[in-house]
Amino acid sequence: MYLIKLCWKNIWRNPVRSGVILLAVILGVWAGLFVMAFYNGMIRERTRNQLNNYVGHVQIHMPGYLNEKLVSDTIPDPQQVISSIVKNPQVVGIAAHTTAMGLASSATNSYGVTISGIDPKREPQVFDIHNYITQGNYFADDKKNSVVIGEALAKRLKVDLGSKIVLTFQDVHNEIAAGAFRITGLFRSDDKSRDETQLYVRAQDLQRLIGAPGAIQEIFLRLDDSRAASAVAARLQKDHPNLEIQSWEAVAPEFQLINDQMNLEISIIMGIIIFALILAILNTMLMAILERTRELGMLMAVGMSKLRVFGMIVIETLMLSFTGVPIGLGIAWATIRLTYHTGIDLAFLAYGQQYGFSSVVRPEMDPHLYPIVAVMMIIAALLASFYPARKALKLRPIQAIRTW
Amino acid sequence: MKVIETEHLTRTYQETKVPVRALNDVTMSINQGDFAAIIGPSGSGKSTLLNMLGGLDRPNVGSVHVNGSDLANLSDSELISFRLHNIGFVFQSYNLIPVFTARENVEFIMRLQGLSEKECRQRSEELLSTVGLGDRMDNRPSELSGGQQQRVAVARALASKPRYILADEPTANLDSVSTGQLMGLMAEMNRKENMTFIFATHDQRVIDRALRVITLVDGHIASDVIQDVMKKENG
Repeated sequence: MYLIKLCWKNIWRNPVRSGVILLAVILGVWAGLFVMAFYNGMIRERTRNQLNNYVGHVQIHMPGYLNEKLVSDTIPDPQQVISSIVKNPQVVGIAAHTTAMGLASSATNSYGVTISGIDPKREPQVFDIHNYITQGNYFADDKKNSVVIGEALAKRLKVDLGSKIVLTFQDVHNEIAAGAFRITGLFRSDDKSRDETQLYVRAQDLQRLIGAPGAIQEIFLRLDDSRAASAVAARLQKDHPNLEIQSWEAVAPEFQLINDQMNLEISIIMGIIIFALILAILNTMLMAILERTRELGMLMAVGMSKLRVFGMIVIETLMLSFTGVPIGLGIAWATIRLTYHTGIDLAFLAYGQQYGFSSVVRPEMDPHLYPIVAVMMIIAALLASFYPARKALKLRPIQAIRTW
Repeated sequence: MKVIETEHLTRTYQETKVPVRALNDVTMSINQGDFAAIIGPSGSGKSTLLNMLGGLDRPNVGSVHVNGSDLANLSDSELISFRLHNIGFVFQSYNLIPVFTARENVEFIMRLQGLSEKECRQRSEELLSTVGLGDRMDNRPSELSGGQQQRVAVARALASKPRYILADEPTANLDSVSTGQLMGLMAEMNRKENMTFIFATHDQRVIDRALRVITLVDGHIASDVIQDVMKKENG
């Protein structure tokens, strides 16, 4: 206890220097956590957006469908499949798509698109595109051949709400089919590239044009928990061995790739922060020892053991960390909570939307990461303390106090 | 009773280009209750001898026996423990812990010895009152004069109940009044408690108060004189 008291008083000998290192620890912890939360928020928001707008949690197709996306790869008796799946308590929404790859053409331009024929009443169970309508409506009336397209595609095609576009695609007999559609709604999601290449029509309009009434190529499921997708997909696969049933992780492995990439970047940033902290602490403690050479010599001369001297330096370093780390954690927790609720609007940077990142980032942090970061910082401080402590140990009292 | 005995103590510093023999075949003893000044010109070996007697340095040849233990044979950690329990140090520049109060500086040594908080507190207050600092216990060194700091250092040296106290130039930074007070205090301790004091000094005021004067010249003991014993009796 007495040693602790001495250590505490020692670190406040030079309040400015200790204050600066304390500030460095606080800023280091805060910056490390906030950067982690920021990246984490970006990734999670992107994943959520992708799942909720385009991918779903589980997808059901004919085997090999995703390789070529042929119109003819229809799911046999899709209503029976849906009826059996709807019984699963984890499935909270089902959307069936008639899908065709084709070309959208206006009077001036053409662009390659994925045409999703949907049931507008069922679609919101799984996907949220209806929430992104910026002009017009989301199939509010029963007019035939209505189409909802992204603002980005409208811009490419140089068309507006109410304009007509022609969709060209293959029918189930591999013949070219086409239909004129009127734009009744425009949407803008957080994924500009998807907005350019994805459009929605009513399923029956598309089925009529491809010559296969009731044909469904894709069934999408939303679950009560996206993390259960793999397990649910595996279970459903057993019940439907003739179909290919995949979780979102299997359908879109790039999500995991981006996740891994971001984690690597976070680790590098954390590594740099921790390394800088170690250097700052090391420098401070070496300075402190240099200034106290004579005193340390005196302590050893009067009978303070080497272990105690070593412990004193380590404790002083840890005290700086133990003071700074909780404050840094607290500030990080508060700013992460605050910015999660307010969001950080990066729309002015016009960055990331091309790749599906939301313009508003909501930093998120798993609570279990706070103690991990705290422990990492304490370990860093401990490592930083060893060299100065060892240096102090090597002092010989007679040399340290010189002429007494 | 002999507290310290040295035999053929020799210390040569090899660190310099030309080896320097600071002590050369010093054989002497210090008795319980000695109030001894080690004097001599600069470079005569006073501080080296004090370092040897304090277990802060090891001889190249010879031995330092304290109550039967040869300090040269003790390991570094044994020496540290030995110093903690047997020797009190008074330094020229006080060397108090600046962040501690006078009381905490005195208590610190006892805490190192493992004494309880209550014992430490009681003894430190007694000692500080003895050295005339009963009203400055909660002052930090920076709030005390040089003389007061050195008295705290004496109280600290006494705190561990050492066999003997070593003081290197204890009055070098003090004015006449403070020197008089400090020497009076140590003489009183010596007389009342039969505490052994060994000083290395140039200061004539200290030499005058010493009961025994050991003169070193070129690392040898040139003379070892018992001064007027009446001094001790009269204080």
